[in-house]
Amino acid sequence: MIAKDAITIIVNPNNPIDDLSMDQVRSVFSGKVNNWKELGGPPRPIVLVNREEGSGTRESFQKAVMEKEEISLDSLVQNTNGAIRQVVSNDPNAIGYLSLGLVNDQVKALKISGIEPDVANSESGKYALVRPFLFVLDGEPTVEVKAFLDFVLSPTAQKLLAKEGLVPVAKLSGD
Amino acid sequence: MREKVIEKILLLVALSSVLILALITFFIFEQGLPLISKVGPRAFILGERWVPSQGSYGIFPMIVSSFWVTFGALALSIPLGLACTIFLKEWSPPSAGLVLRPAIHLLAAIPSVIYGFWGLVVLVPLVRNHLGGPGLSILSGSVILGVMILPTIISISEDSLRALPPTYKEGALALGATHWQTIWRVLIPAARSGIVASIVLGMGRAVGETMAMIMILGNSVKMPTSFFDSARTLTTNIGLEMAYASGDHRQALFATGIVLFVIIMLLNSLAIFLSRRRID
Repeated sequence: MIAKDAITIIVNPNNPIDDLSMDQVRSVFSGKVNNWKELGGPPRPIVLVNREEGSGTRESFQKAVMEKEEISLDSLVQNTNGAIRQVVSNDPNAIGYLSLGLVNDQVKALKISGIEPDVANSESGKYALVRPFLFVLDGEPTVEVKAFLDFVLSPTAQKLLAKEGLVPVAKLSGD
Repeated sequence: MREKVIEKILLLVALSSVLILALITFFIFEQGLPLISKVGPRAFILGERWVPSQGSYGIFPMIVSSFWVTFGALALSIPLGLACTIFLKEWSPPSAGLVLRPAIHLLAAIPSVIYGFWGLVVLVPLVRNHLGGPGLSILSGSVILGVMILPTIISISEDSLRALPPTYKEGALALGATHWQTIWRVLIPAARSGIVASIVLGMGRAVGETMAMIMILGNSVKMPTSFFDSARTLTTNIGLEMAYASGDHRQALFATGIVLFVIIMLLNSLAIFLSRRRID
């Protein structure tokens, strides 16, 4: 494992809603709640934006949020984090999810039951929608691979990862 | 002697292109058929649920969407294309033709991702703000696709109008028909097979278009019920999911390719058949 990544629920910046509970997110994505009015927003239909089948983000989202429930087949499907962000930033009724590191000011990240999705909360375990980023090796690492792995887990590289919005796994030295 | 050798080499080169086609065909079928037989051809083609993570592989909504988007595109591009062809052939002053023809050809040279991007940034918000729905919809896709196949329809149907003997037009005019009557009652019917072939070829291109459609259609997997619904076509299903697919899921995408392959083959054979009929 090289880092952890927080999956962030995002909406359009014009959406008045800032905070949803996990149950609410689940019922929105399963299609049971399909109007923002039911969540205290304007009376507008909710547009779900989903990742494609096979995507790791979708799989983690399914496991962490949906549990046994199925994501509604009505949802729009985009096959990159960037496309999800593009659609959500353009559509005032949209809701989607993507990696914390890719959230920018075109979209609004939702709090989950009051907890802000950020690196500190994911590190402390308060923010629950976290997934591991893994390197997978075939057999024993060669010298070069070993050197690269050592670098990735070094404080320098972990700081770089943290700067990109990922949650570092190796303890950073004092500074 | 030397000439014979060169002849043989050229023959080999020519055959290699056919061989490549055969290899591709073989590969697609070899990869996709096992899944079709595992799921059952009926359940695969007529099934309405596509959830690979649960083992549901039904592509019927995508077949329907493919045709829906294609016919939407044709509804736009046939009248526009025909009007443009008639104008170019019959009324346009030579100077206008000098500008219009290259412009239409240029339309065919624009990469489809540019069409997709333009659609996403300009057309989709227009549809969402004025007509409702998410904007990523069959309507937006059809409009973009309609523009994309215009060059095919215009250039081939103009060729077929030009191929008519000038005596047709002269004879009709000599008999006292007006210019419009000549066009509508004589020239268009006489060039009918070429025009129909141009439409079928445009249709083939529309069914096969992928990149722009991934960007504009919204790609949801359910059966579309209106023009404002998001939809997923056969091609976009493959383009969208190939990156991370493995195992049965990957085979199912190849199987989607088989269905697409068969549909395109049928359309192209139809186009060839229709354009050959002109001779007799």
